[in-house]
Amino acid sequence: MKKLSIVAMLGVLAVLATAATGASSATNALQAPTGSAGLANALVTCGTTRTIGIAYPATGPAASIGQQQFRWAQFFQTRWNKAHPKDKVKFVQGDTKLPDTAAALAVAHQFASNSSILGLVGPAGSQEVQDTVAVFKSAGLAVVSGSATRVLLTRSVGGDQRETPAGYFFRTVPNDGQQGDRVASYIASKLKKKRVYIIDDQESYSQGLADQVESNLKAKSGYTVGRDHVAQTVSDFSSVITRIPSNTQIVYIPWQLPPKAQLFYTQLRAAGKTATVFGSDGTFAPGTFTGAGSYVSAFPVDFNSKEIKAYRAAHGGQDEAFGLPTYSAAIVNAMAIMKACKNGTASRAEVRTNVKNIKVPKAASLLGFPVQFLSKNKGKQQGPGDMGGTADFAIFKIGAGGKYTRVG
Amino acid sequence: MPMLLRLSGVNTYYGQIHILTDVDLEVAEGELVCLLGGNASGKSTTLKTVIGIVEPRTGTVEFAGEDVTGKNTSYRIKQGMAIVPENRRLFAPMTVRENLEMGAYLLGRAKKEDFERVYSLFPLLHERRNQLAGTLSGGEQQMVAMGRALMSQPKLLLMDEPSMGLAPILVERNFEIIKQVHEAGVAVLVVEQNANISLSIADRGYVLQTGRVVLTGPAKDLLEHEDLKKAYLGR
Amino acid sequence: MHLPLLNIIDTVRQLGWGGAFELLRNGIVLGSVYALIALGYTMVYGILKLLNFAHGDIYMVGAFLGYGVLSILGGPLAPTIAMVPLILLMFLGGMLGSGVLGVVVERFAYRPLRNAPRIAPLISALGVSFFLANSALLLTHGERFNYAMYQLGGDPNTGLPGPLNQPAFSVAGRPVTVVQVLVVSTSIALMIALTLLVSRTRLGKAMRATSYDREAASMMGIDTDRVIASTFFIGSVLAGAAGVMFGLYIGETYYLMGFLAGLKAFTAAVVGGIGSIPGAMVGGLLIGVTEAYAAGYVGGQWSDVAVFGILILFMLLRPSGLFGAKTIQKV
Repeated sequence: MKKLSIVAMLGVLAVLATAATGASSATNALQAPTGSAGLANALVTCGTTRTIGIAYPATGPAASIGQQQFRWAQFFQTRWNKAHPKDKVKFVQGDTKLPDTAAALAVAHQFASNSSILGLVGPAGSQEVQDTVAVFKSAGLAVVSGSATRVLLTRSVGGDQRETPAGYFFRTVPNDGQQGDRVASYIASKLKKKRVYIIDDQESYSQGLADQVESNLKAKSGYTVGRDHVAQTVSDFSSVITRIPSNTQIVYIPWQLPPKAQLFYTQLRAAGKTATVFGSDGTFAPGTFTGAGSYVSAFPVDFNSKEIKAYRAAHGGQDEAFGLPTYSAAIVNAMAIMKACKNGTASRAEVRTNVKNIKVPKAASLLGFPVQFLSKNKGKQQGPGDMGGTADFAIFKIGAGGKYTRVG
Repeated sequence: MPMLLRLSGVNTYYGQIHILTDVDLEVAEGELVCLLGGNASGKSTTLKTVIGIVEPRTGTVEFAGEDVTGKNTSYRIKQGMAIVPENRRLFAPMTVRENLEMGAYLLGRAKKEDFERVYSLFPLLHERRNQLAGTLSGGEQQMVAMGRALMSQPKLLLMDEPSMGLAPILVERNFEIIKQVHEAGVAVLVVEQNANISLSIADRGYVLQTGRVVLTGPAKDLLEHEDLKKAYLGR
Repeated sequence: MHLPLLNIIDTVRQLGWGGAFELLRNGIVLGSVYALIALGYTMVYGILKLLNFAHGDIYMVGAFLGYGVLSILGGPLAPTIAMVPLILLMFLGGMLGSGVLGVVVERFAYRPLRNAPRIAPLISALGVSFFLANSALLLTHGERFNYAMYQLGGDPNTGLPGPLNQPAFSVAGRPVTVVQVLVVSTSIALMIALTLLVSRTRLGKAMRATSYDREAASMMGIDTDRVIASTFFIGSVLAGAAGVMFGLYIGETYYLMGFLAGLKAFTAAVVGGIGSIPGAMVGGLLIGVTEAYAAGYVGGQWSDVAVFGILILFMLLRPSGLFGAKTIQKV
């Protein structure tokens, strides 16, 4: 009897745990949005305030970065509304609870059927985008994401097809392929280090980058490249660190959570290992990830621009750079809607066309490059929906006192 | 002799089931009273009502001149009740000594005199004091259960079917001890199926049938009573 | 993910005795934290036959309270009092706060369901867990706080260790730091204190009696409500201590930290034999060591799988756990 009840209780626990972590066990779409298909072309009266949906992880394991995205969107809204009193915007929020597929789909359906929504910022995660883009497409909304960086979202690679339909996915952030290439070439040609160890955090963003850098480096001769994985929930890296060979020169950690990168750095040093830590744009966080001697890839933001200074001042000295491209995604939407509303009414289809053709100048995007979207493949890594032009990653080095300086 | 325990007009229910109907029962100071009845007569429920595990829907329980209806078990025990539960209910993974300590729980710490008193009544317990209660034989466990109840020097000792599951010789021995305890001045209310032996040491008795008191009187009279003889004494 | 056996053997050889010791050390430290949390699970199960799903969140609250005390006293950058009294106060704050929270939760979420069918308090516990985690989310905006830096842990810029991360001694050439010694010795001290409390004191015996047979215990005059509340207090105090310890050792506090830690501690309690105090202690260490060796020898992504694998193994082969009570006959 005792055995049976324990097993039964464990069964209950396992089911509940799965539900709580939102593992995509049952990704049944809620009933198809009835009527939202017609919303693509429906004309909405613009008025002086228009609505943009913002899909981001407000709660869940990625809440700390999701909230950054939302704060940057709010910062954008205040400034834009002040500068454009007749073309104001407001946001309808959707909590996608990354990595909870069911929650992301619920948000997609909610936005799809909300006729006042003309534009969309987010979702944040590449997997989320893949899961929800069909729903958004059938409602005529284009995804404009500030953080979904998987290469396959904009172009086919090898035997894998492009994961989003043309014209319905845009991103205001350079993709993993671009980032991976930059990092690998920097390690190889500038740092000239050949013993590299790569640890991903099991999320698709991280695995993508890790795979990219690993294959780039392994293709070169004389490189020792080790690989390991940790879950995003881990904070005690001691045993993973024990595993790293002591003669490793660079540990590449393309993670999404800067506090984890900082923890890893301190634990690595505490274990007496001297390898240089190299992070990705997910770990770019002056003030949080401050390990001196480390490198981080990120876009060439000008941290002394007046907008970023203003943000910093209003947010306790934090830049929260992870949220920056969401600001840019919001501009894209606001400008596209403003143009469509010139004649007093707009449809989602119009807004989408405007997004496709948008040109945001460098000074306004805050990313260190202008924003405009490709309509054809470019190079090995970019496809329609990626930003072309000079949009690419830069390499930063963390110096004494946690100061970030651009080095490449 | 002054009344120690009085149940008046007690009606107890388990949900909708009417277990005890208009039960009146008294035990005077220093008296040994037995409550007889077969299975499902409501004997255990009566004891539970006395000690406070079960509350009557109507009726009162008075103890030592106070109305304790509605007061919890802890309170009543503090006022001087103690119980030897049905099937002993010892704490099997604890030692004999620890079980006895639990009997004296409300007094704070069990004093040496309390242990000595119980060990003098049951010398075997002294020998076995560090043994786990669950490893003792049935008869030894009965001793522990009684010793445990006596640790707090109760005014009223409640015993729920002390002969249950014991060999006749052990039953005899137990009832001798109950008699001894009674002679020391403790009032005892014994609930039993074995009418013969309980009436042989009791002052008075009650007979319960399906939750009602059907007979009461001095023990001697009950022993001679016709119906009782047939039902319980097999004569 | 493939699992080539040869790779593992290679890694074991590569890491050598030094590596093996390091992994053992990591496992024992983390395992001590799990053991303290597991004790609360096992004690509450023993006395109420309730799996308190909210227990992991009580650990989380303890960690935050420790951080709160630290911030009041100047924060990790510039604490206003010396390290030893600072750490003592952090423990005090975390432990007392968690203890009180545990008592409050019992009083309002479980006691009213004492006589309801067994599933009701289980669901209530889940509700409390979500409530606590989400309250923490609202209060902290999902931010992660780090205590083991600057004056305690070390310079986050240079990685130079602070007083807590200085080596205390070495084995096979590998260091054991001050904070690691602190965590293990504090856990041992608390476990000894708990064992003494349960075996020697009047309250401890009343707890054991109530766990074994609540009705009989109340027939002895024991106020079982108070005994149950005390059990929750003690279990929660231990979880709070574990929270502060984890904060000092690893540093990170986050509103979801109770979920996985709670699940692993629950595993430890079950593997040790649910209801058994020595079981929770041994179970915690076993789980911690398993996690460390799985991560170290096989790969970082295997640590959780290995832990839950052990759970399944026990459920199939020895469901009563290591120290599980073979049913003693009720007398």
